[in-house]
Amino acid sequence: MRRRIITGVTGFLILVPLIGLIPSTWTWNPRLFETLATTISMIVALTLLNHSIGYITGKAIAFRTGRLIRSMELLISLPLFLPVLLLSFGLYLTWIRLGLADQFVGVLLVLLLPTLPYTIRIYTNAFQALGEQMMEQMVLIEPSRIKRFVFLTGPMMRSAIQSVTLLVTVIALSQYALVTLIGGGVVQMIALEAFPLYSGNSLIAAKEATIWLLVLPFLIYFVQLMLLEAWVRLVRRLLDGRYDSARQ
Amino acid sequence: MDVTIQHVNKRFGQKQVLQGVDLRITSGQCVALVGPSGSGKTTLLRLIAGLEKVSDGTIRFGEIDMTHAAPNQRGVTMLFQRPLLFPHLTVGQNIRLGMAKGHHEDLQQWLEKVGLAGRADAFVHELSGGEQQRASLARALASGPNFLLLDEPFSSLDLPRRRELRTLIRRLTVAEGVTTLLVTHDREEAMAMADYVYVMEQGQIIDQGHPVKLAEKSPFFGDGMYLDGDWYPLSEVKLVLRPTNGLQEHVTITKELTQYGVRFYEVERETGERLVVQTTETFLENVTAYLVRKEG
Amino acid sequence: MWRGNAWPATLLIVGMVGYGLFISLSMTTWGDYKQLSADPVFLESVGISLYVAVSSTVLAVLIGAGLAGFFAKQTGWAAQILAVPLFLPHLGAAYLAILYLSDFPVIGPHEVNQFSIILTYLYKEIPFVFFYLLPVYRRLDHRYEELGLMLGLSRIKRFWHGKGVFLLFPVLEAAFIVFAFTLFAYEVPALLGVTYPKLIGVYTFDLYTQGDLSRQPEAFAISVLLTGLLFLLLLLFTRMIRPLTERISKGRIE
Repeated sequence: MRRRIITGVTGFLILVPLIGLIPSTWTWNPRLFETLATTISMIVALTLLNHSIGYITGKAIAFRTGRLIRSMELLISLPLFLPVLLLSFGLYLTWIRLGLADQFVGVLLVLLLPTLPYTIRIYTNAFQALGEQMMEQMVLIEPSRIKRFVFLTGPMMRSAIQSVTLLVTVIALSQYALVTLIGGGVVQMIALEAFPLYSGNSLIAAKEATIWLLVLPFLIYFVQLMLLEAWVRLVRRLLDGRYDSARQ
Repeated sequence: MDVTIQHVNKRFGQKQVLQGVDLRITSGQCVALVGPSGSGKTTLLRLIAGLEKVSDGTIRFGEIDMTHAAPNQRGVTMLFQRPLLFPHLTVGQNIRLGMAKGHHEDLQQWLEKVGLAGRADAFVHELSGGEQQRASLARALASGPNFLLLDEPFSSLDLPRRRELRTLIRRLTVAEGVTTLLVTHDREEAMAMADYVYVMEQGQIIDQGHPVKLAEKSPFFGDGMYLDGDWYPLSEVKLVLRPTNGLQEHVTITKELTQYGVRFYEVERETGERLVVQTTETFLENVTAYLVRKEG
Repeated sequence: MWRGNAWPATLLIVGMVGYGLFISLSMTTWGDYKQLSADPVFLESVGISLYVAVSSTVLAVLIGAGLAGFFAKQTGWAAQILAVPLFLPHLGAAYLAILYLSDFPVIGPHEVNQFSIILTYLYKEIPFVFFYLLPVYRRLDHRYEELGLMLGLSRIKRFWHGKGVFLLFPVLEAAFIVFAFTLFAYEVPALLGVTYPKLIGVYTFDLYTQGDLSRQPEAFAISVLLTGLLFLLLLLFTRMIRPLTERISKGRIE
């Protein structure tokens, strides 16, 4: 009974505010739309980078031992505890020197700072849950790394993959200051358009921008969910095909 | 204080885990609950401890109805399969946790009793598995319980440690006057430790009796094995037979047999009558033995 | 090599953090720091930021941990509902705050804004703490608490020895993450906060981007100072907690 009350109250407190997002009218804000291309490509690039780096790093932290790896684990967590935005002041100057300022890649690299630590953590937990023995087992069954990932490790990490993409997407979408600074106004993401609307006069325009901010993560999440499901189904079919003769 | 359990049922949701369980533990005894996994023996143990609530039936400690009493009101303590020593505390701190105020000097005594003298300041990870269980035993007994409940505490140990530990447990519980209830799926353990055995299957008690008798007769507990093998002659060692069997006298050992990992002795009474007895001690010197059966 | 490789991540992160710090440091002089310690505007900003960060952290951790403990056995819908705010970027949460809270009768000119900032953070951070701690609560071995009960420990002692020690480090970690985030954030306080006093993230960023170049060293100095302070805090914490966590993780292998 107590459980129901608490669930109810929690649900109420969380979901009711979202009513304020329901649109009464809908207008296409063309400027928001333009930023969509950059936004989505940034998110995709950032997600891919996060997954590839996070995967191998998480694995290392989960399965290697020693003081070195422990120190690396700590160092990797640093951006979680330090003021990334403030540090980016210095980074901006470096970026200028490297020609990365006001560039897509420059922003991409900097966005790794608020995202990678979370990603790596998620993958580390996923590998630890998998267990070293399971991992060794898989290495013995399928020595080819790519095949192993496609058929074995990948499907077993579906929820981690989902969480990582979600986190990266949400964090990236929210970055106004970082993108403005490093991107110099040239790299236009949706937050840059949305931000001024919030302090402006039109609440409706602000609402529409926010809807995008909510819809994009949900959309990406569910698209990925379907892709992952299709992946697993494909893998199953391929593996079944292999052992067809055994079945009959 | 005897423990009486009457008509106890336990349901988890729709699942009936215990049905119509009646049992009785005499004060000071060691009773074993034996059965395959899923037979409900651990659940019964937890009901007696007060860690789960009874669906129907009563549990009485002596005359007092303890059916709804909390664990800390029952004077029970438990040894689990894993030692579960608190990892952030030393061995000494672990053992002292349950001690009443003013008894803290007893720590050294307890350490000695379980063979861990001098290890008070060690942390859990510095101890071997056997040592950890012994520390756990000290912790349990140092809190001065009336009942010691054992949930397969030997599973993580190898055979020699198992034997060591059960001898230790028996010796200490008898010395402290602690009634013991043991859950196990290992017949040898029940034989070596228990005065009385209840056999469980699918939530019900299907047989009960002295372990050796069960081993000989009960299809559920044994496979009809009986004491055979080679008897070795021994003489002039005296044993005292256990009071609970109604006998208290000195006898002479004539033969010895080890089976099921347990020592059985054929002894001769002053009257010339021969009996087969069993002890939990590995070294004999005026030790207490209990009766298995009469020879002849 | 199938054991993975932590070098790319480490080099990237340490490189960027280190370089950012190094460059910021090189743009400042000792005099800048002395100036800061006497600057009332700066100090007031730090004060208000701490107030907001500490309140948000304490509330988020208490409620989030409480919910995690409550729903650990069976999550049901709770997990789905609590996941929703995770999909909403902080900016979006700020919009909701603007929508609902800007019409509130003004209690005190600053309080309302601080209040709305904290609420916005809570909306996002309570789910974060919840999902962060949920697996920790799930992995707890309840038999430790049962032992505490049978050994006759008091309620507080039972909680500490049975659960508390195992929860301490993850809870502190979550708290530290939320604290650092709420202390230095820009977007939410920029939208919801007052023009004076600004929260430190807003203050410093505006100083860097809007002020004239002569004030830039101030911004750099603030970065270095705050980074240094938090880094020290981090070291302190890990040093103090290390023996405890080591004993626990070693004593747990089975």
